Amino acid sequence: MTSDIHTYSGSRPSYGKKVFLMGLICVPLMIGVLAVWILTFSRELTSNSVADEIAHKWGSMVYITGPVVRVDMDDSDGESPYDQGYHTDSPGWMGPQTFDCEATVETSSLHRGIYEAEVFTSHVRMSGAFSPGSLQPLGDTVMVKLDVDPGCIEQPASLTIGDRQLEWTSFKDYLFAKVNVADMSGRVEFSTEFNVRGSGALFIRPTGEQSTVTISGDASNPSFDGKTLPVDRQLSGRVFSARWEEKMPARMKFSSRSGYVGTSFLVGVDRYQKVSRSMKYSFIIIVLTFISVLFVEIVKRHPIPLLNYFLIGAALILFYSLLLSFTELVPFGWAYLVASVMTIALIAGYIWKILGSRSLGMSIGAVLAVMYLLCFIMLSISDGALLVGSLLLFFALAAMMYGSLKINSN
Amino acid sequence: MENMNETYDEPKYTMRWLGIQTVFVLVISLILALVASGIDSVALGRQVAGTLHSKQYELVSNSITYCFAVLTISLMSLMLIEVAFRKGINFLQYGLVGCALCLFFLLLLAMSEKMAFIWAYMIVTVMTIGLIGTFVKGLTKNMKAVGLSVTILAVEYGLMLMLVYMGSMALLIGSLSLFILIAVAMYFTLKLKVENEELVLK
Repeated sequence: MTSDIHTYSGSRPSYGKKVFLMGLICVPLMIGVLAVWILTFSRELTSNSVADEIAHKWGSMVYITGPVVRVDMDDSDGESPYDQGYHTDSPGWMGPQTFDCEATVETSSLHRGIYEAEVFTSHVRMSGAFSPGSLQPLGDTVMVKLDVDPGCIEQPASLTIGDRQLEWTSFKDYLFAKVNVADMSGRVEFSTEFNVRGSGALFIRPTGEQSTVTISGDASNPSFDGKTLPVDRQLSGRVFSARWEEKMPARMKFSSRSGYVGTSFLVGVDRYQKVSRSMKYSFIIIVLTFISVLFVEIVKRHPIPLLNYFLIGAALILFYSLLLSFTELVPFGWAYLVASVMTIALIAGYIWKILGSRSLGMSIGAVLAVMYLLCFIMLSISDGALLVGSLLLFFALAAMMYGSLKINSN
Repeated sequence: MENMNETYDEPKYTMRWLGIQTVFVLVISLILALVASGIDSVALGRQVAGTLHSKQYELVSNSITYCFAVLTISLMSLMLIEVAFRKGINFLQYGLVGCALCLFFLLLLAMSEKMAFIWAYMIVTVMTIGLIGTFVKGLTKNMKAVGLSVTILAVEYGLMLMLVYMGSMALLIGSLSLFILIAVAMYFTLKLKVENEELVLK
């Protein structure tokens, strides 16, 4: 590394060996990146398990099946007259003719130390109508069942059916109401509304011949899921809304866990994914930084030992560790800003002191700032990251070619 | 510092020496870190046998996590002392210092079976720092070198104790102290000058 450029004025030392050794330095540096990646992964696992634990104290995933009416009261063989409903795959349930369900989701965060879980409260409004003359043949009193875990309902809900208002009765994992339908001819309208609390997902099983399910609200990373995809969906940032339309026969067979449509959310936080995604660009950042420092070294004819390159590389890796630890305390954008400013200041100051030139330190700092900014932009855009990335690489290559022309002309 | 007694026929503290020494320090740290993980499994065995309280075991096991970092930083600081005070320290002596640092964890395990972790930690830290400080005094016969090595060790062990008790905040403190460590290392490489092929700390 102690080059003899001072003795041979005019001739240039060979940098081939140095570039090779720099490549070799990248191996332990990438092992360091791998270590930070593993650390991120294990922090994510811990965080997710704590988040699940917090969320489950609030409520777990919510599954709601729209109201159905029991058809075959006589066939009951269970100990409770309503017990057969527990085995939802037994036939003998009739759904309404039309069924509309609107659910609005409101999320809130629960904290425990640095851990955080997102839970939701949802206002569910169901309405619809049974077709004329469909209830009376079933007897004077019919049982209307609503399949939802009574534990997740916030306040007791009531059912309006026809011109009557009834209270739901909780039993095991569903609600039921006994309705006297002797005088109900014609269309029988019903409506009910209640609040449920849960986390992770909200699924609704439509039961009507014609059903519409609308779920809207705000949540992190909502994804639409279930038997069918929504016919209409809107998603901008955290705000989403989706609408499903379903058709099915009036008398149906419920298989235990199918036929649901709905939305699932992220319970934990997605900051760890952002950190590990940003680490994808670590190699290119290290290589580009090394190349810029090498250019400076060649142009200034001031040898920089490999030890200094190693320290610069180590500082670049430490960025990810800093990012990981900051992002557990503050939002990702701020964590990224603070960590990158710290790293850039350290490296730029170091180059300034090595070369004794403030402007060169500043320009290396500017190169680093641009790289970190581009990396942040790449993280923020979900679509077209590949296109932007390859275009950026093209421009980086062009800049390097331009730089190497400068070296030749010197 | 250049005009201190010892002279060499050929330059000793070259860049090449620095490279070889760094690799040596990393290899010996790695080997001793493996030994320390052996101490960890001994501790687990003691916990299962019931002689070590599970809370104590967690603390001992947590501190063993930082073994590699402590070894590397301490041995690197020994290299710094070697260059700064121009006193040769051979590979065997590096190895002995590394063993003392590794023995710290075994002593910590043994002591924490008998008393509260914090007291065990303090006693063992004083023992280890005393031993290494005396050894450095014997090697360099220079109180400044002893002061430097004792300070570095005391800071390391203080930081390690803090990290062991920190729990989920340990990552933040650890990353920030690594940042400071890199800054200090950068500072020393700026002071490190090559004169007649020889590394000199100015």
